[in-house]
Amino acid sequence: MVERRPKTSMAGQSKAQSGDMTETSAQTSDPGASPSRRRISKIAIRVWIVLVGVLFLSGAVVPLATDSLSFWFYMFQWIALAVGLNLAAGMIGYLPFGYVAFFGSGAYATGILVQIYAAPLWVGIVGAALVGALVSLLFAPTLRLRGIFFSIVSMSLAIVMQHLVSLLPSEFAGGSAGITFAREQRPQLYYYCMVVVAMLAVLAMTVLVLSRQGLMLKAIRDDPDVARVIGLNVSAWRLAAWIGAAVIAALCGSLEGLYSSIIDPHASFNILISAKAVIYAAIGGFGTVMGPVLGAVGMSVIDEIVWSRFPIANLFVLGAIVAVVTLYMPRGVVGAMLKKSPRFRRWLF
Amino acid sequence: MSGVTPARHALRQDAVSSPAVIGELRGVSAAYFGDIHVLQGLDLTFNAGRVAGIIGPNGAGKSTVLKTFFGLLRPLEGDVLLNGQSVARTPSHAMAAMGVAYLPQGRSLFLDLTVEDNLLLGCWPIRSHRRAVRSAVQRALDIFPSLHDARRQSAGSLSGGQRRFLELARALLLEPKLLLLDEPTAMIAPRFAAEVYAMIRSIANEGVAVVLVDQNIRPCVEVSDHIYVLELGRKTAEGTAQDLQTDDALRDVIAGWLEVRGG
Amino acid sequence: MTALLPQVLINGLIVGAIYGLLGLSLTIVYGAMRVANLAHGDLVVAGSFIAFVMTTQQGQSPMLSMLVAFIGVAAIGGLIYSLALRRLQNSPEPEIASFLFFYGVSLMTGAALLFIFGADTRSVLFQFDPISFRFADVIVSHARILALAIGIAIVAGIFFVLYRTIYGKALRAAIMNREALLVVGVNIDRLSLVAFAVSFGVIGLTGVLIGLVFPAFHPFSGLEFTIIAFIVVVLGGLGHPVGAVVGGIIFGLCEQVTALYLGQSLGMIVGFLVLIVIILIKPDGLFGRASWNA
Repeated sequence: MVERRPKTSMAGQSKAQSGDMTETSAQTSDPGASPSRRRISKIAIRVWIVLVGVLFLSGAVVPLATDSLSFWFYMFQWIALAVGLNLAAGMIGYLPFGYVAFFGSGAYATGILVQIYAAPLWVGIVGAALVGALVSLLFAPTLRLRGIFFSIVSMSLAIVMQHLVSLLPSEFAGGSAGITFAREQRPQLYYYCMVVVAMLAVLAMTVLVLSRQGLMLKAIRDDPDVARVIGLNVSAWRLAAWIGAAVIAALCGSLEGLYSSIIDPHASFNILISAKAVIYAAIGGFGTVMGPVLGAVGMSVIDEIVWSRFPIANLFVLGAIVAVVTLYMPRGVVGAMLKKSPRFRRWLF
Repeated sequence: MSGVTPARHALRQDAVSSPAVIGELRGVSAAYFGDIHVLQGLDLTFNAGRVAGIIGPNGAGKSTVLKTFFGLLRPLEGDVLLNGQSVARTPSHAMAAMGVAYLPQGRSLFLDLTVEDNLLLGCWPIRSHRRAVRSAVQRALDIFPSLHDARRQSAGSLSGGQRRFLELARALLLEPKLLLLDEPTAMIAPRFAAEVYAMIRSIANEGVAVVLVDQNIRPCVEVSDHIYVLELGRKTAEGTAQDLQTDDALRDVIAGWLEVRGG
Repeated sequence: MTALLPQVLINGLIVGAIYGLLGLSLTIVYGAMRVANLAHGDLVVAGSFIAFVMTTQQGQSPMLSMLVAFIGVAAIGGLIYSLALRRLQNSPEPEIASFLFFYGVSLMTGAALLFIFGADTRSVLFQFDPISFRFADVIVSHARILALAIGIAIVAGIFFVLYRTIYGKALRAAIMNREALLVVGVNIDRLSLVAFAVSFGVIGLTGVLIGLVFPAFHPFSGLEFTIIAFIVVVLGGLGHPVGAVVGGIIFGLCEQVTALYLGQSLGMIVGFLVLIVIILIKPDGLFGRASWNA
């Protein structure tokens, strides 16, 4: 009977199958999740911090060196928005297509406080953050929806906000004409504030992902039931990430309003702002720290180049990039590299 | 090894009579992912009017044989023949029209559609001939009176045994030449199982080549004309069903599996 | 104001029927292929622009516009299907991937319309004779009656195909059990392609009807229609054909009645609020998530 035994033993087969299972779990969960966390090299983290440092330092000297302040302002804004959106989409698995609701709330909070009630600037900005947090609490019940249901309701809420804001009495919120800041223009100050917001967002995300808390968020995203069983307070963590994402967007809205010195329902609640944040983060790779930052920087540059020459083509190109990336790199650039070679797991996160 | 002829030895049955060969696997190797070969150089022949039983332990590749024949899995090596023509590259959806009916393991019904609609979809290849469709569905309902009574109910409301009859009825609608059955009596009540085996026998007696993959060795051997024994993707033994009718012979085969599994 | 109520209810029904049609094509694509078409509204607007070219510019009849819009947008659908669908369905999260992909398509469509037609607001101009009909106190324009009649005919046609023909049954079966559909010999890929293209054709046709009923549109009106379509579909239960039609009528009535009592700009908000309330009470919509029951 011995010769009837085939070469492949059962043990070999089961080993190969379990190998396949790790592969599939790597597909559903994020490559930075628990088993690979320890494998991220210390050097990679340092290199990343240095790179981020260089980015923000060059941001700091830009106003002295060039006259394209606007480009840099918006680049940092998109970094902050993409990172903030990733906090919701990549970390807890909710894709808020109405992310702009927080952006617009922040803009309006600052506008009303600073312009209508003549509050000091810092009150306007802090107020924006608080209003953002408040609105996110108001929308928190929608977190019980999943998948595209959540995305669609989120988008509807953003449009409801847009309509409601334009219905507010015009002596309070400017009506459909919006609010124009009459105070003196200080673009450099707002610019530096934006750099700080973006930097804090990126650093917070980096620390979060490399810490135990990031692991918890990922566990919650990948399998809420298991997370609950091992004793994680799923809804509290989820809510914390949700509020964090909202505050980042509200601060961006506040600063953008100040920077452009005009706020109106159409511009401040433009759904394209949500869409761009989603797209930039998705192109870089949801659930990674580096992806949204790289996506926002890269796309801002492309946007600047295409926009300045072909304004209509810009939207078309943006659309085409989104379509192609979702088809060929569904996990974004960083996600695709992580999937391609495990080597990158030590270097990308 | 009493009674079971190893594959490399001469086949007793073929010496006696040779009914028309309907389906054939020639040196077929297949794999689900990359390097794990589920089938390794398999040669099988399915004859008209005969039930070919395929038995073997879990993971032997029994269901894979059917999937490969039906085109759900592309063979890496070897060829799959239907009436002498290669069908190794034929997509699954074209198999029904070529006279191959396949009953996958478990559920192959559309549970939210009515019994009648399930039968109707079984007529897909002849859908443009409305009269033929209607008479085929009617014939199936006549053969299975219990389905006739339930024809306006959803398939999901049927019992396990009834569902299996509906699957069989649907598989037989287009009068296939080759019927591939994967565990047709799994998860159904014993009295239905006996009926299913009786039906398999009579289907074969009509001239259909039946391939029966079954975990229940005893009834499978009883209903089959020819038995193939598969272990880890290889054919380790084959022979006429009569050779396996004795308890000793069966015990011998099963002892072989235990050894493989244990070692 | 109450004297206006019958008029508003009729308008609500007409608008609602068109919203239902808007949702129906979206829900079929979602139900059969798990694709969330975020470019839905932009393709509707593309249909409206086809109607604009055919009627306002060329002086052709709305009927001919519908045919052209159907064929044109169906061709776009067929193209998208063959280029992208398989990849989308194999991606790690098909729903989110299709959501993003079709957002890209939406931007491309909007930009293309902007490039061809400019940013101006357009309307479909066609002289009907008579311009409107009067039933007791209710006046309904000829265009709206036509749109309603055609809308009802298409909805009826879609339901006939889905529930009474072998093709519709196969399509509904596809979501229940794909492997079994292969077993009975259905070429799922081709069936899906045809279903996808026809659904897109219906989108284009809906665009013509919307051009007839709504006063004006421009290249970026699309998002609004996308959102209405999604709301209608989610209201009724994602992937549920009957739910889409019922959801459309509910939304249309809410919108029109609110507009009467509280003003135009609150119309849409109330529709959204109805959606949010229903979703929070019944997260799967009024009719539950798609199971495509018989």
